[in-house]
Amino acid sequence: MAVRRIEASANISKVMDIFYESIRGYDKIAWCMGPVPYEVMFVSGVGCFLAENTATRIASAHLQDEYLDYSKSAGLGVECCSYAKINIGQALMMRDGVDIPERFRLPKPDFIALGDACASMMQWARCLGEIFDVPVFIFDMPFVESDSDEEAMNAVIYHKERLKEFIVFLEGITGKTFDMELLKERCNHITEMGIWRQLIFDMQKVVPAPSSFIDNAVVMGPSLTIRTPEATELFKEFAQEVVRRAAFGIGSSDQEKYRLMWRGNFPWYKVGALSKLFDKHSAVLVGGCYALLKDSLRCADLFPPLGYPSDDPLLHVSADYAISGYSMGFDPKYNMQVKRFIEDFHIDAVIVHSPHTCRPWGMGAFDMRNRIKEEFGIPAIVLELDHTDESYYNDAQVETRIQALLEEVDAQRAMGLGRKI
Amino acid sequence: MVNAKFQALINQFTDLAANPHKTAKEWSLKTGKKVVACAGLDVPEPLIEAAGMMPIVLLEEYGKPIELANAHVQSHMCGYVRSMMEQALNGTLNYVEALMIRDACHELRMIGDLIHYVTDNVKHIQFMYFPPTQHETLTKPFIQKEMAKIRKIIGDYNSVEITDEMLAKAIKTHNENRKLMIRLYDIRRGNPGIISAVQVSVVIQASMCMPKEEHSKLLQELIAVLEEMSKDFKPSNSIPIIVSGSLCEICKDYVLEAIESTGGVVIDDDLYVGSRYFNTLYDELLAPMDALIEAYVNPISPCPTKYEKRSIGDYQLEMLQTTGARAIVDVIVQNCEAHYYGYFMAHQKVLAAGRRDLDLFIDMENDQFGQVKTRLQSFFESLEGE
Repeated sequence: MAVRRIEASANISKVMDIFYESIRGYDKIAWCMGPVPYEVMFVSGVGCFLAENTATRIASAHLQDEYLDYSKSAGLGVECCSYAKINIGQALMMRDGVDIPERFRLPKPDFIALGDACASMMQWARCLGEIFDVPVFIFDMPFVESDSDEEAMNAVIYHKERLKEFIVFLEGITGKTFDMELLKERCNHITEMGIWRQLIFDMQKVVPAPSSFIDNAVVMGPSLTIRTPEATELFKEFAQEVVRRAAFGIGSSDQEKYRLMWRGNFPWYKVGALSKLFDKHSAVLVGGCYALLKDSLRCADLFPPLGYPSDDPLLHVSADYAISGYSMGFDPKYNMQVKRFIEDFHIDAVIVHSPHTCRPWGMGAFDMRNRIKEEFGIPAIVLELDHTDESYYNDAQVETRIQALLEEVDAQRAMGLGRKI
Repeated sequence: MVNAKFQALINQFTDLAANPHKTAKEWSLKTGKKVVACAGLDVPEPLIEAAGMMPIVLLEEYGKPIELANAHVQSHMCGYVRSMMEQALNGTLNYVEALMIRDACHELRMIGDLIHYVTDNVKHIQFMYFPPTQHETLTKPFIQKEMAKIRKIIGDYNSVEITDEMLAKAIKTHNENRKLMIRLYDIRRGNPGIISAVQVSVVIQASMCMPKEEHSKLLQELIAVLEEMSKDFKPSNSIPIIVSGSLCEICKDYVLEAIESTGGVVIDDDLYVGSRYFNTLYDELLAPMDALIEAYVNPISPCPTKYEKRSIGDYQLEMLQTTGARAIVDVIVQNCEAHYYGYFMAHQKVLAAGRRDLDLFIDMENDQFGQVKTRLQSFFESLEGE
């Protein structure tokens, strides 16, 4: 058996390398955390990137230990988010003149920007602001406690007001007037990207799944950070490939016996290994909010069908960024991140990832699993790993847990329960 | 005679603080007031008081093992939220009318919903979101709306409409209690060693689980006794120390005792169960709701779950400057991620200013008495050598 990767995503490392190379050409640079409006910064002439993504790249290359150790030895607590530890480690290494491999070098920031979806990011941003002695701009993200559309819409409107302040801030940084027409143009591309991503999302419901969660996870960089016409083109190719495969009944795996959902962020240093492991057991990860549309799902409820209001570029941006799965109560989180996937994606079992150093994905993981089992009667497990700190990962244990999960699916099927194959 | 009275008062405070839920229940029975538990110091206690109920600060149950909560909250989450879940599941919180939680960190953000999902033991759970950026133009208008919503919800718990007059009166009561605690700290700063750090801690703990007027009465007596004692008191010549942190938790007695038995004397603190609880007074010249908001956006102590230009490090340096303390002992609760970052930058700032600090990472579920004592001994020896 072999994993059939989506060709459009095969060169993703190169795409990201080119992106980071291009960032070095900007006069003004922002290091960003969480959901901050990247397109608005690019329109302003500010080169920006998601700090989590830089940590992911380092972890994917299995080089994270040096950065983790550097922040730890400077006094940062080991239980802090491993993205933050890698990124702060890198900032400290830059401050101290420690050599960093060419591929992962970053230009110094002129400011830090963050959407404080994750409560810890604010302090991460403060650390960077103090290390580089630059200002920090924060988008507060009001907590959406319930499923109420009114509550969600209030968060969008609040974000839009803050966005106006951000534009004034950017004009101060760049000394240039903000070009709203250019933003409109960018928004059109992002809407188009949304259309292609929606198609990819819908195609995951097909049996066998033409692409896997992992195919989608590896292209998160372009969807979250790059957001240019080139990124839109990548998703267009991706979607077309998926549609072609679906038409011919070609799946991501040769033998799709189990359709699994992954809830939570992903251990980036094990993308290849996990991909092979699932394939070895005829399992495919087909669902998961982390890689598939993620937070836009909630916005699509407010601004159907895609979550992008078309006539107001600022509202377009805010709709896309204001509501994060991190800043939601347990019920809306369950409904958005789990329930709609299980219902629509023919899921046989769920893996709930509880990353050791990530509270937003970790808090409530046990009860998320319990609720899935109670409401859907399908097997679910919690895997306690980590997104970028490899020391929390044990190959043998993970394989044993996944095998046990699949055996539980078999046992259910033997009793005439679950999805028929 | 004075010393005997002092000890008797301290014993009273210690008894009150020893079992905070028992104390709160007894006062609830005595006064007929419902009890509302507050998680986080930014829950506006005067609103609860104004509604005719008794606010208490929910703390971790000291020395009680986590058992039931293990099935819901991982061991690498902070001890406070694990204890909150435990207290909800084991029925400890059955008696409270409501549990109010301010969105401070991700654990607190989710714990209310999780408790609500797994048990009906807590009658009402109310979450409050205030923007963490304290000084942005959108912050105050947002809090005004949220605070008005909370005012209505709290009033409904006791079927009353909270008027501005009721709130102003409650603010006055809280301010009086806070001013007394500020006075207690003034006496300690002026007379190092006159009252131990553990004794101060129990005084503050008691204020968190009983009516403020009653606590104020006892505290007035204590202050009078201390003022008398200070007349012929010889200040300790141990190394003057500020102890900081232990966010959301009591700073464990053994840590405070170890500081004061290995060469230090605590002359001030920046503790959660300490000055952080009372050092911000509500501005009685403002409209009462505005006074609550002002206290949130402009507190005396910076909080690592909020954002203002001034950092914990800036505040620690100010404290060192104004108190004459030689160093800071930072008590960091294991798995408190917000404080990890806050401490990390504070440490860099304190070192850069040529001052000294010591970090003690404390596991709230297991005591590390020997390790803590050894580290403190070395720290004080090195300070003595300077």
